[in-house]
Amino acid sequence: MIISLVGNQNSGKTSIFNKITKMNQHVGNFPGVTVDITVGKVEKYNNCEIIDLPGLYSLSTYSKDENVTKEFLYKNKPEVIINVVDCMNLQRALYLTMQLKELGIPIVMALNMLDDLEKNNGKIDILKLEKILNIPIIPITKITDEEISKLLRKATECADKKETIHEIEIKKDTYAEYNEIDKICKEILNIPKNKREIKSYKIDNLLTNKFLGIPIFILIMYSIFKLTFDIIGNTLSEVLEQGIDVVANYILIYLEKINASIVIKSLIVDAILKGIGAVLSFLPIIVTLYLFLSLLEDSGYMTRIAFIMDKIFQKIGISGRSIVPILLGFGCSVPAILSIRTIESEKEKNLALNLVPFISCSAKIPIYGIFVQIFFKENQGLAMLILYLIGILIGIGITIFIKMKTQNKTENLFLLELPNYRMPSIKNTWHLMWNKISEFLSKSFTIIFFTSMIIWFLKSFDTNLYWVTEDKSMLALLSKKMLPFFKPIGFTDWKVITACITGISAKESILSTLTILSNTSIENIILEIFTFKSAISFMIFTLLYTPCIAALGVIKKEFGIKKAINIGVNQFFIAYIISFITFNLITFF
Amino acid sequence: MKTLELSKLKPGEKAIIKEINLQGKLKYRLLELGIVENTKFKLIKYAPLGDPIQISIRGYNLAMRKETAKKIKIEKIDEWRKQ
Repeated sequence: MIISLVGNQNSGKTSIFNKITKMNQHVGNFPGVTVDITVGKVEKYNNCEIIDLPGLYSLSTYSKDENVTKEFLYKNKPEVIINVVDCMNLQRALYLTMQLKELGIPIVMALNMLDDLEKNNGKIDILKLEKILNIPIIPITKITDEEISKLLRKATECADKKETIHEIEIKKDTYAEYNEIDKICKEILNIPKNKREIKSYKIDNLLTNKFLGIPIFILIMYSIFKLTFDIIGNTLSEVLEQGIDVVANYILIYLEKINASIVIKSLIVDAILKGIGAVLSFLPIIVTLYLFLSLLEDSGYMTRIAFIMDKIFQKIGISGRSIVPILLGFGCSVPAILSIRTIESEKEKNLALNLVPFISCSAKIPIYGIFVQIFFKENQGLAMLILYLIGILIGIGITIFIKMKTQNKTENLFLLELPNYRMPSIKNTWHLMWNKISEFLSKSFTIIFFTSMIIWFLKSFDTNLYWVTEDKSMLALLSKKMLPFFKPIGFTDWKVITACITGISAKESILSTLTILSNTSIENIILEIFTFKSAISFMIFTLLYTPCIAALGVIKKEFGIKKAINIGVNQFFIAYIISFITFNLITFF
Repeated sequence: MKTLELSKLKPGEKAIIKEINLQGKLKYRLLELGIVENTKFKLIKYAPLGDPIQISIRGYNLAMRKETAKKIKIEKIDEWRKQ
C-alpha cells in the first residue's frame, strides 16, 4: 500500500515523514515521474510504503510545467493521501485540500503545528472542520509517537475504501473558492496574534535591513566558506588522506610479501586506492556544505537570501534563488549543481546550470596559486581576482546570450514565500545530510572510480600493453598526437595536454600530473614549459574547460546525459576560443 | 477612493486589492496563493536593493517583483481588520 504525504511547502511534511520512517528511507523512481522521490518504510505496517512528495499549492493543470507531485498522484494513484496542513496557514492549505478531495483518493488530514497555535493563544474547532470538509482530521502538536500511530491507523483504515480518480481543471472560480474558504476559517479558526511572525519581523529588521542586510549576508557566506573549506574541510581531508596512506602502506607491505608484480601493486595502489580516495575526498566538503545548506534552508534564511539578491539577477534572467548554486560553485560544482533542484522555473534551472561551470571551484585554486606566484609576483591577489572575474563575466555573458536566444521576454514567475524563522531541527538536518551523502556515494562513486581506472590504464601502458613509464604511455602518445591542435592557444609541450586530460577526473590532478611527468619541482616544470603568454592562456583554459567527472556525473543524474555531454563539450570549446583570443591578444601587446 | 498601483505603497501601509492586470502563469500562481480581488494586505518592506516587495497577506508573507506589483491595482485602507 502506498501512502503519500501531500501539502504546502513549510507545512512540516518532511518532519512527519522522518518520524514515520525513522531512518528507513531511500530515493526511488516511479513510472511517469521525471525525478526521483523519497520513499520510506512505515514502522509496524509491513505492507506500507510512504512517499514524501514535494510541497505544492495547487493541482490545477493549466501549466505545462511538470510537477512531480501531480505526476505522481495521477500516474501512481496512491491508496491514501495524508494531507499535511499547517494550522497557522490554514486558508492557503485548504485551497489544496479542496482540490485533493476532488481526486477521489481517500484522504486524511494531519492538522500540524497545533502547539504553535496554542502558544499564540489561538483556537480551532477541529470537529466542525471535520464536518464541513467531510474528511477525518488527526491533530498533530509535537509529532509524538501517539499522534503518528493515530494518523497511520486512520490512514490505513481509509485506504480500504476506494473511489474513482479523475483529473481536475481550474474551471472553478478561484475567487469564489477562496470566499468559501474564508467563510470556513472565520467559523472555526481564531488566532489573535502570531508571536512567531512578530519575532520574524524583528529578525528581518536586521537581516533584510536596507543597510545591514547585504553586509550581513556576505559575512555569513564568508564564514560558511571559511568553515567548510579551510577549517572543517581541510581537516577532514587531511585525516582522510592519512587514513588512505596508512591503508595503502599496509597493502603495499602485504603485496611485497607475496611478491606481487609491479603492475598489480600499481593497480591496487595507484588505481583502486587512488580512485576510492578521489571519491572520498569530495565527502568532507559535501557533507559540511550540506550541513550549512540545510541549516540555512530549515531556518528560513535561504528565502531571505533570494529576497535580497533578486534585483541583481533580474537583468540576466535568473532570480535570487540562483544565488545558492552560484555561491556553492565557488567551493565545489557538485553541491552547486545539486542545489539547482530547489529552483522552481525550468528555464531558470537551465540558466543556472549553464552558469555554474564558469565559476571557478576551489580545486583550481592551487593551480592559479602557483602560476600567479611565478608569473605575477607583485600582483598575486589582483591576478587571482581578475581570473575569477573573467570566469564570472564570461558566464554572465553566455547566460544573457542564452536568455536572448531562447525567449523574447523574460518569464517572470517570481513569487517567493518568506516563512517565519524557526530553529532548524537537528533530526531533520541529520536526515537530510545522510540522504544526500548516500545519494552522492551511490551515484557518483562508479563514475569517478572508473575514470580514475581508465586514466591509470592509459598512463601505465603503451600501445603494446607493456608496462612503461608515463612518458612512453598511451596517454603520452595521445597527448603528442593532440599537440598540434593546441599550438594555436600556446601549448607547446605534450605534458600540458596530459595534465589537462587527467584534469577531467579531478582538477587537483593537473598539478600532480605535471609533477609526475617530470622529475623536478613544480616550479621548475612551469618555468620550463610555460612562457608568460602561454601561462595566461593555460590559466584561462583550465578556468573554463570541461568540468571534472564528478560534476559531469551529477549533471547527468540531475539533468540527463545529453545535457552532461552538451556542457562537457561546450565548455571545452569555449575554453579553447577564449584561450585562443587571449593568447593572440597578448601577443599583440 | 482612487486606485493605485501596488508598487506605489509605502512600508507599513495597508490596502485592498482591486484589480489584477496580469496574464497567464503568473496570474494563476497569484490566484492559487490567494491573491485575488478584495483581499486585504499590508506592505511590509522593500528589499535592500529596492526590489522585490514583501507583503503580508492571508496570514503569510510573500515577496513579489516591482514589475508584478505595478500591474496590481489597490485601494488604501485605514483600518486593519483581521481576515
